Amino acid sequence: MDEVTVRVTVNGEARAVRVPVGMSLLEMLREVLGLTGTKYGCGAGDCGACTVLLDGKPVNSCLVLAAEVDGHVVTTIEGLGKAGLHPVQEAFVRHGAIQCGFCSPGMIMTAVGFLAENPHPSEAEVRAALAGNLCRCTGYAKIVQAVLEASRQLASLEHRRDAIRGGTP
Amino acid sequence: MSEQFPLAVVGRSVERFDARDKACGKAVYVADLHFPGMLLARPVRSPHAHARVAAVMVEEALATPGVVAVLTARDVPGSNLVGSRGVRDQPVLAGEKVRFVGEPVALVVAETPAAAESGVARVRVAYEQLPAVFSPEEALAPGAPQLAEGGNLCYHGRIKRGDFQRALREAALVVTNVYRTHLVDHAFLEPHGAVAVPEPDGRVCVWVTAKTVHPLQEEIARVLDCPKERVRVVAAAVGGSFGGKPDIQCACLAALAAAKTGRPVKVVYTREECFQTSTKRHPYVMQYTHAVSGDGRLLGVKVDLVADAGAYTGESRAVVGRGIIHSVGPYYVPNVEVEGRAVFTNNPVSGAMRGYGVPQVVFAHESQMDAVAHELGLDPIELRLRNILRPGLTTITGQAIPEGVGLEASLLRMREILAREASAGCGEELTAWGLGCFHYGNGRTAVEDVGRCRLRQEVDGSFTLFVGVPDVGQGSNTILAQIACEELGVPWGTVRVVSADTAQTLESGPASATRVTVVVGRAVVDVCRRMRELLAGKGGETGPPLEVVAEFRTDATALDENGQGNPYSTYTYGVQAARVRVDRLTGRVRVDRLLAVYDVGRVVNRILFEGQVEGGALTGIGYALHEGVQCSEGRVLNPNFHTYLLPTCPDAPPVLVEVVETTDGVGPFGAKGIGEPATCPTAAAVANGLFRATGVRFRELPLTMEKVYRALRG
Repeated sequence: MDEVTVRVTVNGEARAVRVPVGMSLLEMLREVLGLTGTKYGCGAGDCGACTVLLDGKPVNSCLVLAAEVDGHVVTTIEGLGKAGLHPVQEAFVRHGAIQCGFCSPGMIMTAVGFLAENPHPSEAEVRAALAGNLCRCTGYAKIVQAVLEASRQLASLEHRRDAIRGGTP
Repeated sequence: MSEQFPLAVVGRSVERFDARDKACGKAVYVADLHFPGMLLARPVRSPHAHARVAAVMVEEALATPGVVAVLTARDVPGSNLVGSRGVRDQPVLAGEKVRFVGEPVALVVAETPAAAESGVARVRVAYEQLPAVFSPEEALAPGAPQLAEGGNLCYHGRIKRGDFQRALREAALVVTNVYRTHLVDHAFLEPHGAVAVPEPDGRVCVWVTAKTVHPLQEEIARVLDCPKERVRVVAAAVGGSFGGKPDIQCACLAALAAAKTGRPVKVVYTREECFQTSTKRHPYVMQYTHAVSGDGRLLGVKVDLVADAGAYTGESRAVVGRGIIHSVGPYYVPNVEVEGRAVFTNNPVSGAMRGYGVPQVVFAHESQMDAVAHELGLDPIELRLRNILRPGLTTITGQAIPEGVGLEASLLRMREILAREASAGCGEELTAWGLGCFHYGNGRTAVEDVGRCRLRQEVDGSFTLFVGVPDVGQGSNTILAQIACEELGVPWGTVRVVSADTAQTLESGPASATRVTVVVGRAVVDVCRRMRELLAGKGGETGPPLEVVAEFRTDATALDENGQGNPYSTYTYGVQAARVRVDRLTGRVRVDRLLAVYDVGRVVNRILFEGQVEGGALTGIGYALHEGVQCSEGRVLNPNFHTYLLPTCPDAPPVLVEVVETTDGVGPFGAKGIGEPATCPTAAAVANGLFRATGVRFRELPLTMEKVYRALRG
């Protein structure tokens, strides 16, 4: 079977792996790199359980070929909050936004990518951003609350960072 | 009603044990497991709904590079028939016949996924197609092919009390209608899977995603023809069950392959396989006749209910059994005739799905109640208040209602809330509120349900609670630990929980039937009480750490030939209201607000409780409006999430959740279950709201845009 070398930064670490040309990014992460936090839910890009950040943007890793990420940067759930929990993870825990937890990694990665682009979202914008991440347990209510709270936490962290650097108050 | 004094740990929204791990992607589900030398296994599945298996030829598949073994029914050392609840009629690997599309006929075990797929493509199966039936009506018609030895009737139950014919004669109003519900899927995000690992001492350890492990240990042992002790079953983190896990075949196939190859074997279903082959909610056809007095009292109700059991028995007997018990709703009805039947067809097997046969009857009985209210010009809540079960009255099975039942309080509170809620439509939208009132028996139906657990004192003064029931995502481990801390009188954090490992836990029944809070929770209270007594007896002396076992048995009884008895020791009661908005032009229906008032005795953990209601209500909205398995001649036409439409985040309305504080004292600290009650009344509330908004009564689920559009145009 044809193979290809993929040179990619995963969670801040430069990796080089040899994979079959047809292998998806999802399979490469789970089976080759042993990063099983990203999940297979449908294999067709419908459920979002496989969401990771590719150059900071949320993608369904089941629909991305491993070969496509050669030269790029991938962040998975394992790469968040290396020193303690990321504010989005913390908010999910605090708000009871996690039940079975299977959708959570993908949901959290989508939220992280979304908040980087839209740091002060309305509830409707949060809901629209999460439309591609299915959850069967929670009814989404506490997930949305958690993302809104995380946006406030991140905003206040930015605010404090700016104040320390002598930026706008 | 009993007063509820505040407790120290029960009632607090403590953080669930596994939240942090799950947030970090560290929780281990079966598909995440990896063992040295592990093989992958893929089933070969029947494309036919009903066929004789003339021959299975595996030579070409075996010769495929990377394929290590190909198993057929011949390779099953023990019993090839498995099942839940004692009826073992479903093969692990089909032998002589297949009875549904997707039934497994062989298993290819290989070094890589690609080799397994190649192997599957090279297994040759010679089928002789047989005539098939795809509805209970077809299956019961004279001359229909008989799917099982005993014929196509899987189950027949009845409940008879009083004299319905007399009620009919005395009624001022008689309302007769037929209601139909459809096939829907659990759609848990984590697909079925299992990993079986042979151990050096000859045992096999099977990791599963399941609502129960101990019965699975028995099934696997029977299949492998070995003593139970040689099989260990452990639940990994479970990515949702809603009644639908385990797939017994999946766990048995993994164990079989591990036994044959001597290597670890992983089986994980694709999403398409889950849609085609795993169990679904029973479609029901229900004829209801309500005989009512002029002032709105229910004199009698007649129900005739037929359920599509699919190809094998599964849990059909218990599902339809529960359905008929709940069929008239939480009302006092002195005269009833209820018949319920489950019928075999060549459709996928219908099984346990959150609500276990009750959401269907709630849709019917609440639509009936709404129709009665409308005919008599009565307010829907007023009609219910005139008929609800109250202390001193009896259910249709003759069970006496005790003190401390919060049904009336729930309805009164709902009335207060509704009075201040907006209901005006705007523009092209028709708007109205619809109501769904219900009850749900906690515990397995009409049997003495048993919960067991073990409590071990550790040398550092902490405790470990061993519970046989898996936490399927709802947070049962956490609430059982809360109950334990409360009863032991120790701070939160002192009790850890080990669950669902046949090598460490005692059989305690499944995570189903909304039984864990009451039946297992009471066993936890008992084991902690005993531990406290023993510790007090030691009086501060040191000695070996203590270990205690306790068991709790419900006082439920079997039902007689007229369905009379006490099928559950306690019930959860409640009412939901849905604000339904209908677009006049397109027929599109949405729910933009949901209210829920529940009597669950006492809430153990408020955040977990709300999570159950929010999730269950949205599942109910999906059931009402847009979910549906399109099954044609036994084949699922929409086996993926872009054509099976689950509710997404923007679809979810705000949910207001309230509880009434009362208890009948049966549950631990008075607590009762919420898992299935969360979803039971939602579809009914939506259907009633749709009627109130449009003036058109819909008696068939789902309430799709097309149906509403056509109805609005007459």
